[in-house]
Amino acid sequence: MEPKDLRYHQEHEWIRVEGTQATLGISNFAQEALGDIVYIEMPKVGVTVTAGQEIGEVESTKTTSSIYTPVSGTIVKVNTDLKDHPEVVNADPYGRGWIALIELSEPAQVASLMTAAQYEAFLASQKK
Amino acid sequence: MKRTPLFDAHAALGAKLVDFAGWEMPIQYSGVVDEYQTVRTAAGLFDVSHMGRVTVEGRDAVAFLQRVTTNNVETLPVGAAQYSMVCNPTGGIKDDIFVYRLGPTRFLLCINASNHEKIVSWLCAKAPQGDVRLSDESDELAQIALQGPESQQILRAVCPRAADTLKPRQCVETEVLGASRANRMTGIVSRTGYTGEVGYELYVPSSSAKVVWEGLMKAGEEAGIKPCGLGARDLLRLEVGYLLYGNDIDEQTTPLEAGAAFAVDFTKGEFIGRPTLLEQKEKGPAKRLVGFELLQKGVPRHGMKIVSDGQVIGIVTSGNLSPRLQKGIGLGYVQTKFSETGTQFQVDIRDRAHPAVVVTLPFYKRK
Repeated sequence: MEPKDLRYHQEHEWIRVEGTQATLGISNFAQEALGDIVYIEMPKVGVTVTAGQEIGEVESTKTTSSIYTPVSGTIVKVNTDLKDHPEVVNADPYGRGWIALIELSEPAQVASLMTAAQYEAFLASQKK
Repeated sequence: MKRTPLFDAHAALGAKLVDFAGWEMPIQYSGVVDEYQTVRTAAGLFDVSHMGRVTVEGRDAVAFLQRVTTNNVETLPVGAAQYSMVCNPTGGIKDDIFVYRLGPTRFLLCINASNHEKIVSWLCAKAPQGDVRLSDESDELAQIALQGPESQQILRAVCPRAADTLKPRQCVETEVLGASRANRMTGIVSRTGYTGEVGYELYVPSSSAKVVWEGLMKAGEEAGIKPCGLGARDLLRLEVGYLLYGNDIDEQTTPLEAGAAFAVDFTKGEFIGRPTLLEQKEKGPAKRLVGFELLQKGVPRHGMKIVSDGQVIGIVTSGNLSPRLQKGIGLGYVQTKFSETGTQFQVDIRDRAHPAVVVTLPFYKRK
């Protein structure tokens, strides 16, 4: 079950909106598919990003995967704990494994993202 | 997709399965890093039955293998194994293989899954008129690798003779017990592997694969044995600098370029690829495979460019983050003048130049 207070993107990122800011991470499905995460190339604080843009990379022992932002805005903070402990994303993708905090420039974009129920249905449809 | 005789065991153990060279194989069970650590500190069990196994027998078997492989089979004692290569006429690597000498005129070849059909047809086409019998035993034999510092004492439980007598790169045809004495069978056990640890490979009848697997899992329970997948295997082999066919070597590369000159014996007489390889040896190859470490955090991957002063001077063929070194490590081909240990260049990781330095292989050596 995916957390109900988050919104999800088809590239398997999630966001948690609080006021004018959104915390971004990768979904449980994404971390499971990647396997052991060994390095994360973080976005830079202060950078302006556009919805759909690649903002970083997650490296696992198996593969490399891009991190996309589903919303536009400015990166105001990144999770520096992940520099030495990227495996936290495996252990707690929706909590301590958050990746970046974004100041939203177009908050209306959030409504177009999937709810937990929609994302679960999306995952189920991908399995077929 | 093809399945090995151990497929049901993998599924029951909760393996994550992927397509590897047409085989539905476990990529991981508990997790790649966990399995990696288990092999470095205790023991891991791998199903490598997807690899090809071909026996070569007959009075002319030695002469035949001398011609189609690069290493010297004549000086290989009975009960020993050697790393070797099968080359095309221009010295390009058709496959890297292990040759086991089971008897004076009897050999087992272990070939890569991805080259199975290609190599079997090549060997058949090159077999002389004389007394050489080739037999593809890949379906009849399963192959299980037991690797890690605890593997010797674990093996002792199912195959005491092999555990007590085998030195590195030796092999023996011996009695192997499965889970119980009633499952006794004859198999081939060798002290070989792809991880850099003490380890063994067991070639047993496919019908017995499951009892041998279960017997080893049970024997290793106390030592902390775990089933391991191809993900851990790839990480383990990379730290030792072992080559992966299709990534590090192919028909466009030669053994000399790949740093495998030790597997080529020019003194043994004619063999397929020798004239080109000899010429390359005399001139020196234009490119060489090197091991390198990144000087900043990052992960090199197959296909990334290696650059120096803005010029492309090579290409990464394998890369990962070494759990041991906590650094990005890789193998790649560079122009020969950049191949000396200590040479610095950059790896282009998504348009950013990451500084790297050539190191002496292996990255990891067992104490």
